[in-house]
Amino acid sequence: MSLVVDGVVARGAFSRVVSISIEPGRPVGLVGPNGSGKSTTLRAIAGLDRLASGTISLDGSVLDGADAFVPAELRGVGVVFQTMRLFPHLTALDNVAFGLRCAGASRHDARGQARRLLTSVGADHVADRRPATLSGGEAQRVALARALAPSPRVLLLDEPFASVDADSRPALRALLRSLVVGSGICSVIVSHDRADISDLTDVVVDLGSAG
Amino acid sequence: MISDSSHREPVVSAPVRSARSLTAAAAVAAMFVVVPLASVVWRAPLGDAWSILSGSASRDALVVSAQTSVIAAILSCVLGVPLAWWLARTTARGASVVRTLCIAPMVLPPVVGGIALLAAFGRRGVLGAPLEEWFGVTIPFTRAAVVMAQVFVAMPFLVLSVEAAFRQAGSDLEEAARTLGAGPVRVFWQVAVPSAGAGIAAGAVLAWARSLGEFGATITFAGSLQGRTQTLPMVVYESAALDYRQSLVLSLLLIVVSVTVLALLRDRWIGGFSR
Repeated sequence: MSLVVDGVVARGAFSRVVSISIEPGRPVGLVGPNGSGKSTTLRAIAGLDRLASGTISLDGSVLDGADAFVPAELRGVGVVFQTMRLFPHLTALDNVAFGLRCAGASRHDARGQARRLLTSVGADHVADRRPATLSGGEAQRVALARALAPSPRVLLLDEPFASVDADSRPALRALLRSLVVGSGICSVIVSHDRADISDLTDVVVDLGSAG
Repeated sequence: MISDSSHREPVVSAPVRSARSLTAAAAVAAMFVVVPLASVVWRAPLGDAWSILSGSASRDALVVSAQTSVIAAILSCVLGVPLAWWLARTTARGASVVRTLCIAPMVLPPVVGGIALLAAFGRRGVLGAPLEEWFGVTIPFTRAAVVMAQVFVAMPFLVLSVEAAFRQAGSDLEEAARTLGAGPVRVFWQVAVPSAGAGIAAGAVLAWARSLGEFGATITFAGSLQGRTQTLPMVVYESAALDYRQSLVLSLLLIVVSVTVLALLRDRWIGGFSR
């Protein structure tokens, strides 16, 4: 029961070997200087780019390999993007409900569950607001709820607190820790912030050291 | 340019020491366009406008034009928005060739478009002959032919405008949607289209205005049959020699519509939608 990346990630002219194993409930921190392949690795795990070679497998089934590729929409890999990427034309509630609708839930059920998720991340008060009106911390909570909504098996967080002011970070870290650590989710966190990494992760992979 | 919003933020800069010859050239250029338009307003028999507009040829043409141009704008959206998305996102070889061919009607003489449509859909045409033989369907010189000629000429304006909007919106939101389980169709309708909403609205209005003014392709492919295929520009053209006053009034109507469209695109839609 784990996510295993063992291959060459590539984007444009850049490529490098990555070998990571991620256990459920034991978040892995991915660190390294800019250009060391952190985001490229996340994109490969999410299914947004293909590996140049090698395999990604989850619980023994191949997500990306020589003769298999599961596209992003079928992987069950949730992503909290560095720039959040909330849908600007939808309310916070409908952003969270989006993935539930994709999974076949009715509008009513999806919104009900989305509201519970927003409550669980402490953002129920912004449910009816558009992303443009949210603070960095509020948007971050909504993005986290949205990524968790379809019950992903894997959660990827790319610089999750980059647009959150320093005062809000400890509360968000605690929230994330409560949601991910000890759960059945395999998660990977990319951050420049050492406090994020030490607070949230048990295992640290430094892409700068083995480049 | 319609996508330029810089006119909203006046920048104070040092007064340019005017080169008078340039100012004069600019004035001549502006007058060259404005004087003929103003002359239509000046000469049009406004007192008789209502009786002219309610004459049978004008009235029939108004109905045909209103109906066909709206349908053509809708069809341009239905067909053109997916094409624009494909052009904006594809990495396929040959996409630029497809783009060039698809927007060629913008620079093609419209009458050539009409001939091309006849070659394809005429009774002896590449597709027209089997259509008539197998299904008994004849397209040229029908109301449908008017719409097809308008779509042929107008859709490229929409495709260019919407492709630019898709490119500007980028694919970040579409990627986010995919990680949430959205397949290509859902990504297109629920994420890509809304995020290019302003561009699609602008493109639809441009396509509608271009359809309303279409003349060359339409008269070649659909003819000018009053009450069936005769549109406003055809009445303007045909009455220029027979009933100049009618020509002037209908021209004024088309000028007012066109200028209004431009003003809306500039001040309201583009500015109002921008995030």
